[in-house]
Amino acid sequence: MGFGPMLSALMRNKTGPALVALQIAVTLAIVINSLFIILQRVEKMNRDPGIDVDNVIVTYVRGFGDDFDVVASITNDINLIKSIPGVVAATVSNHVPLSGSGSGTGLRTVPDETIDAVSTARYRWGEEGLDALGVTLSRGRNFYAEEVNYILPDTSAPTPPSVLVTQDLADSLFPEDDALGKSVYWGDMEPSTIIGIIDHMHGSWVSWDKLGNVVIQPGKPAYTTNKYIIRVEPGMRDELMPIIEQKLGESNRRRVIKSNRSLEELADRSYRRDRGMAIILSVVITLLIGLTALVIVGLSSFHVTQRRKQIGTRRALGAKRIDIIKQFMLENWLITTAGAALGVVLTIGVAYWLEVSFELERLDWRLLPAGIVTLWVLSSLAVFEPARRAAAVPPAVATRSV
Amino acid sequence: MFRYNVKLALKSMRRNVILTALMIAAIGVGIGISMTTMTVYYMMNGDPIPAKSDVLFAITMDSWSPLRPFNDDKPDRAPHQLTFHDAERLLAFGEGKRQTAMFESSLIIEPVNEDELPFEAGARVASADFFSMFNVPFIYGSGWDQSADAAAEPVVVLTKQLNERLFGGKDSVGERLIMQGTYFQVAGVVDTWEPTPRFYDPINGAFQEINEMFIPYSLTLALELQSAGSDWGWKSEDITSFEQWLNSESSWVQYFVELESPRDRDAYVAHLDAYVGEQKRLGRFERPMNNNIFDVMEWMEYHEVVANDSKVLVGLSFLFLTVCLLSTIALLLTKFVGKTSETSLRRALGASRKVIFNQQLVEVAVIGCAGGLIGLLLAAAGLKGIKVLYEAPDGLVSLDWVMIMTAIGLAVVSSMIAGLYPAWRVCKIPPAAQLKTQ
Amino acid sequence: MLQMTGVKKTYRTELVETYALRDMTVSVNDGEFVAVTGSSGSGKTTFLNIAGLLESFEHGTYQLDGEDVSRLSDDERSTYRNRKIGFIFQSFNLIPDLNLFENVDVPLRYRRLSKGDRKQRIEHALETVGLASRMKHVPAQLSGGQQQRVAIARALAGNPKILLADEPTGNLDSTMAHQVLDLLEEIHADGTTIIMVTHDQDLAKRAERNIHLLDGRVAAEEVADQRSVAA
Repeated sequence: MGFGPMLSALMRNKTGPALVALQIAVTLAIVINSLFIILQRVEKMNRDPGIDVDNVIVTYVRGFGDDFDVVASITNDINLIKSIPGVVAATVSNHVPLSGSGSGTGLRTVPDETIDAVSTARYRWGEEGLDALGVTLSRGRNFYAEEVNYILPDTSAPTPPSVLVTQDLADSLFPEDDALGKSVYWGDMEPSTIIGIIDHMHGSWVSWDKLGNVVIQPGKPAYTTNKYIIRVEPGMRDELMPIIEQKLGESNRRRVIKSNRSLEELADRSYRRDRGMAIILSVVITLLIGLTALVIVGLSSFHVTQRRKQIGTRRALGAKRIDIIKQFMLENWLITTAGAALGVVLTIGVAYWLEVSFELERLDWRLLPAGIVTLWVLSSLAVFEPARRAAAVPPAVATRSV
Repeated sequence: MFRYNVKLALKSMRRNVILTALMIAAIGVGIGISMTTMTVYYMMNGDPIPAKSDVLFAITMDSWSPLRPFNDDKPDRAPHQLTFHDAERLLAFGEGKRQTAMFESSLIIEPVNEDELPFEAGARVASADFFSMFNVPFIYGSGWDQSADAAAEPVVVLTKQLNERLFGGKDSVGERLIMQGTYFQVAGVVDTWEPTPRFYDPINGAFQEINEMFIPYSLTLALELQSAGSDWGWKSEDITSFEQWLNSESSWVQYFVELESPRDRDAYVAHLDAYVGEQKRLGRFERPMNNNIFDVMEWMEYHEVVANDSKVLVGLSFLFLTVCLLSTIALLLTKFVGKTSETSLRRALGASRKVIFNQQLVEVAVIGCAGGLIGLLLAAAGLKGIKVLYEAPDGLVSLDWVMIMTAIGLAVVSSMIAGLYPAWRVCKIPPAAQLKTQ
Repeated sequence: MLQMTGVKKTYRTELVETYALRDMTVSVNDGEFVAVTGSSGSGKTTFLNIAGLLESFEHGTYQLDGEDVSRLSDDERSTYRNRKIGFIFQSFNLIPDLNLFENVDVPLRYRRLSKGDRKQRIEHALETVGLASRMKHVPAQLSGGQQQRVAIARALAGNPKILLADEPTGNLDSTMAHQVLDLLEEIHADGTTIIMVTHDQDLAKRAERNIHLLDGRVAAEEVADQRSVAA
């Protein structure tokens, strides 16, 4: 069909095709890099938190008044909640995983201040805590009820003899050994024994690189503001949320319900920025691909119109319809490939700039071939209709005088 | 001549509707996306209090552990809040023109009569100077004064929204409400005040909603007010009472001072150094001397208020705009090819190259204007989307006049740049090029 | 070589039916140089289109080089045009982005010949029209007469059985027109059948036979002076 002549024809009339190729190149660079960021964020949001997020409700309460008995209030509240049909487990906790708000501390394996501690999130809840979040213990045991006491505000809680840790934290503390049964030391150099290991669980801050480090102390925090974590039967969450709020509200008017939300909502909020970024970039990619496709279609159509006489002449000289289609598609393929080649260079350049200037992660190179193949497919689709119209130009056009 | 050119431009645009529409769409989408991301970036980066941003300073003092720095990744940094003890001492010294210690807390507003429900409201616990330092606007009354601070009087300044909820929006100065078992008296009501970013507290969220009320810092001990914000501690201390908590090495109090001249600033830092020197002799502040003051813009940069994601988006949108411009050039070139006969006719009839060039540029500018307007509409929609996605405050996602003018300007200028080459190609067409054949 | 019998061609739009050819019966012998003349609207362009298999027709039959080509498919007609017919157009119809070599190459590419074979044919064709030295130039660098000669080379390169020329000198000045006609006569002398459509009666006189068309059918025929019949 004439690869050579086609190439020389393109070279003689470079500007238009060069612009399209350049546009394709920049589009490829933006799309691949954006796609990479999106995939990263989606992966981040899809991590398994080790918690039964769908079925957990979180209620923040606060009592007021000088004679408010916070311990009694919490005890009554938890009993009331557990009496509601459909509720599986409930506990009071110092903080809520995945909520963006929490308490952090550092643990050591020896009582030596000069050694760096391993950072971790710290929760304190009762023996129903694991059940209230749907967290599974892989080894060891949970707290006994006797080990769990109320912790009043403005008092330093005594160092608990037993704690639970996640496997991630265990691996950081004891890379070689089995952590079960070992001692860990708090900031005050007092020890606790690890009695149970949780396979996997997320802490409070979803963008923290040590999200999987969690240590749990036994206890029922009785602060000014208290947090109830409640797990319900699957499917019953939306139905039970208003019921819980109503019953709690009725039972004690001196205790305000600050908020009553699903853990899913809290987790979604924590991932708000990541979701937002993924959505924005998806919109950008869609608009960009749409625009480039439209431009290719538009320009190709225009060229068909502009080259009508030429097409007719070729047909007169013996080109079949399929020959004309092949010509347009091949021309488009040449431009697309030139664009793709330049695009690869630009993509790597942009990826490098993003990595260096904004501390993003290194681009997964596998996106490049995938992107180029998609580019070829989309570009061919875009030019197909104009090519088909070109093939429909009748040979008699060659003899018309205008 | 200009109006004639515009008329010609409109005619030409109509003749080739699809190409023109595509061009306007390309420019519109490019401007829409760029303006959306630029507005957010501009707002994040903006000076929220231009009149005073260079005389207000945040303070950090390094009371952290002798064994390791506050921030392992940035070891020269001190904790960015003070201990209660240090804040009290600094307030007592009263150096600098004005000063405020502050933190976030929340209190329950108790019902006056039985059938009302209590609810919790967020508060900023601050010194009297807060209002004059930060130019907070009032609609009723005013803040409290120094003597109220000294006497730890239970007064409260409400925001407009809280005033609506409690008192139906009327002038409630002098009214009372019950919090923490105490009768508070309303001293004033603050007008809508949403500095974006929230420069005085980027630690707890530069783009959070503003607190609903303000109460005196001096009430902290009396009412055992607890910070709802972040607090950091390095020392393991045995704490069994609120007073012990206040005297601990936990850092949770924010401190701002107003210093007008460079000399005042130097004097203040020297004063801090002297204070820390004294504390060192008492066994505290075991780290090397590391006292710093930061003006508003420095403080926001310190906390990296402009989100990384925002910067990435601005960069990507300018690349996007480049693609849109390339599209426009390609489309313009294509369009102009169709003009050869008309152009050569005009040239034959006496139009000079310059006239033809100008005509093309005017056409491109008209298209740019149309694209800019579309872009503005798209940007407005985009900003709305951002508000929903990120639960952003209004201040972050509004198009002010500067941004609107920038959008149109950017559209027209960038399309004219795109149009330079095609216009040059057109004006090169010789006068009688196409007149001979057919 | 060419035999049309009772060919009828109508163009239909929504409102109007135009009878371009009513009852076209004509025959051209192998090796003849025939002119087809008539005023505008007489149907000569339509005749050329049908003769060149550029368009189909409704009634009648058309035999070309011994084969019935009345009802061929689009692809079959394309192949026929490619191998048997050479076209020369009024406005040359060279492709501006290709050089002379590549322009003459165009019809050969649709025929799947080897690279060497094509090269040989192109060079030979360009030599025949005297433009081999400017093979790498583009059409814009040539005069009108030279461009038409390249078009003739393009038509010849495929060794066609019949050359169809549509107002071949219409866009040329008289000097160049004469050059082109001389060239055509040379080609005719080599034995190629030529049909030339023209409105110029003087030009028509240089052919062996002049077929007048009027209202879509043959109105008259003139045989030229014996002198101009090639030996």
